[in-house]
Amino acid sequence: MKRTGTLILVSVGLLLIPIIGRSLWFYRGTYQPPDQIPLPPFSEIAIPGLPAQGGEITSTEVELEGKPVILIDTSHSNRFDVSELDTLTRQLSARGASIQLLDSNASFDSLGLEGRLKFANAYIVVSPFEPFSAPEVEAVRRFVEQDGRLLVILDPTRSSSDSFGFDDFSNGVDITVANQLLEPLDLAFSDDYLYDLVTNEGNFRNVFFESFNDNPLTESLDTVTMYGARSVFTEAGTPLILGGETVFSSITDTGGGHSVAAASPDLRALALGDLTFLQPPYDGVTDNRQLIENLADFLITGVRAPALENLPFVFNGSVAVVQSGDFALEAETLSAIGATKSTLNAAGIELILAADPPEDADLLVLGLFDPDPDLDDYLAPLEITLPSDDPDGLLHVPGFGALSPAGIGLVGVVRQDGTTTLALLAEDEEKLVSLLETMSLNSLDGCLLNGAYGLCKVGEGEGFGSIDEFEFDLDFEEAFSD
Amino acid sequence: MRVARAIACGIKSLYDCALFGPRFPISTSETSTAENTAAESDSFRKRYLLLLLIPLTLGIALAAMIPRPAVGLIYLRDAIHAFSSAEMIAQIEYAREQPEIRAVVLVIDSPGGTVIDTEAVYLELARLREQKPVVTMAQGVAASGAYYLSVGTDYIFAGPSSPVGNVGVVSQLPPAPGVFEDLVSTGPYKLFGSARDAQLRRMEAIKQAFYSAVSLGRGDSLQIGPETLLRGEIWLGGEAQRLGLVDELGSVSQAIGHAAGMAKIANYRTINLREPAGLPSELGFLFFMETEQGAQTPYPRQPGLYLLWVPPSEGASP
Repeated sequence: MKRTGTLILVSVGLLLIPIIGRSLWFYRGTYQPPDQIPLPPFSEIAIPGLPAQGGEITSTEVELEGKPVILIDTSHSNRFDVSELDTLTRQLSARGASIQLLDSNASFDSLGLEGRLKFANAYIVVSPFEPFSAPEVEAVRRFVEQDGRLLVILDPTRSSSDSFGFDDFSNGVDITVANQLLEPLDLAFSDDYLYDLVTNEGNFRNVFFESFNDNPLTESLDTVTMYGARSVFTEAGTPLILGGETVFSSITDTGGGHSVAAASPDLRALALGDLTFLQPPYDGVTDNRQLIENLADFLITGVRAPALENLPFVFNGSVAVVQSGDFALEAETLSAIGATKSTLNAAGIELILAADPPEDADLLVLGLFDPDPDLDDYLAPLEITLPSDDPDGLLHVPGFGALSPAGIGLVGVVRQDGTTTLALLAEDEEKLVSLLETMSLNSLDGCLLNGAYGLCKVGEGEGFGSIDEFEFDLDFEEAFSD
Repeated sequence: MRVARAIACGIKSLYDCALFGPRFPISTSETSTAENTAAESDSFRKRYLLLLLIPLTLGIALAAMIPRPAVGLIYLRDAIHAFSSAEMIAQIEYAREQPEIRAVVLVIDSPGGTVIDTEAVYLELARLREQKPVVTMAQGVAASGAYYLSVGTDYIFAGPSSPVGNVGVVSQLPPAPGVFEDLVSTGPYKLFGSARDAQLRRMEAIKQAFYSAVSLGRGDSLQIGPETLLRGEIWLGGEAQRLGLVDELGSVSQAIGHAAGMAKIANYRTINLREPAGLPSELGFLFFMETEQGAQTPYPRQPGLYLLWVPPSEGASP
């Protein structure tokens, strides 16, 4: 019986050995899964809230001279729709400004940029993709120099052309074109966009800006929000709206001090790196609406210094004719005045013939080099010395020096107390009529212009050939010596 | 105890019977005593051997029923979309149900895909991990949604230069709401789904979930904070390991070995789970746009929310 028990044990062993053997051959233990597989708290992750609306708007009373003209460029393959500026243009209209579009394709827009800038107070350029010509760049530079306002807006989202927005990303054409205009004004856009991964308005590219340099453009601002913005660089100008340490530039991936808006050293030109913030609903976020109001104020306060090259657009409104008492209104004179009236009317300017001109009217003064007490008050601001007041009988014109009055027609323009005075002076009536005709027919083409003064050759005389000295540093010597 | 004792006694009785024959008298008149003794001894040996063979055979038979363990391989060589995710989920379910599949290796070469399909696979992987270890091998690209899946596994291998990361969300915003003359709806967003701005904010929530998944999956291994991770960068495998985005650089076989080690199995086999899960051979799915010349672009055909890497592709604009 003992053998039987042994046999049973052996049999059980034989039964188990293959099982245990195979088990151990394959399995060396038991996998212990984690107690819990952690999952993201999907239901607790909050969707960022709607944009915070800005506070009360502070409006600034701005005294305007005339009706400011705001010219919006659509002639350089600008990648935007004018309606995207509606919030801004409404503010401009509310301030009495006239909004005009520059469209090179429109048949009526034969004046071109240079012509249209003559009567504009501000020029807005958004996402231009077609280069400006050299004369256009120069015209814009002169426009700003004459106290015109320039606003250039780029938006990095407009640099891409395909629907998904990746393969053509940041090709920088608009930057090149915009910087053409801005570099003479010490402003430049960077080929980047700004982002903030730490504190943002719902997305890393929606950046809060809370640092501002003192300027009317940044008055009453605590926080503004930009929605995909380029940074702007200036050497001697003023960075206006600055990002904090967590606001990074996509070029360097470093933060701190990036500016989304900057003004030129003379504060007449502004480069702004975002278009989206001007549009609903983003225009109402944080203090964006206040910034838009400030922008509108900036644009309409561009009071152009009168320059003869801008004729007939040196006037603000109605123009009254004032003539010397010695100057008889003969048929030829009336004809020339009529032609001038037509020219001014074509530019939307009314010419008034009245014995007592309205106080707020601009003036067209017609006189001779002979002294005339009636005109002294009008001519005094021009700071010219008439031949009768000079011991040598020479005509002294700022910027031109002393001139022999023979054969010269003098044109001068000055703005004082909100009104513009344009004076036409010549040696005699015949030459004065000739000068008036010249002005009305060809806007002083062929005359020598230097800012507020112009010299035209009228009739026969030595005028252009007898200049004693020049005070201006222009290369006109050859022209005068002919 | 009584039952056990009775069974033991029963077995013992059976053995006694098998060894010593039936308990009835043998006629002494038929055989001599010596012959009887020799015959009984021979019979006893045969019965003895037989009784040893039976349990051995039974043991072998039973042992043969113990399955050879396997490491299941699930390949993701496409974007994550409705079809590829359904196929992955079928394979995950198969792995979960089959006891011999003791571990799973996810072999990835994918730029990611749709949010909903990625999340669906991610959640199925979490269920699988409750039973079996899952290891990722980033053999090619493991970007965006593909990396989302990776962090939902227990261990991540990557090739030394495998592009890894790209944490974030991409989307094409819906059009600005409008009204049409002939196409009418009952609400301003019935046709468009959401306002453009709302979609942007939803993306942010999805991004946060993605970051949460990375943070939970990588734990203390992660060496970078959200401000770096959420930039959406792609890192090569070596960098990714240094930053804690992956655990180790290696190959598929190493990943398989690691998965087997986690499952504590040896002498295992590997199974591509595609066929056992009843899936047909891999079919192409038109997820990406194609150019007029037939070249594939990195852009998805349908607008929507994506956990997708869209690498620059010059000349491949849709």
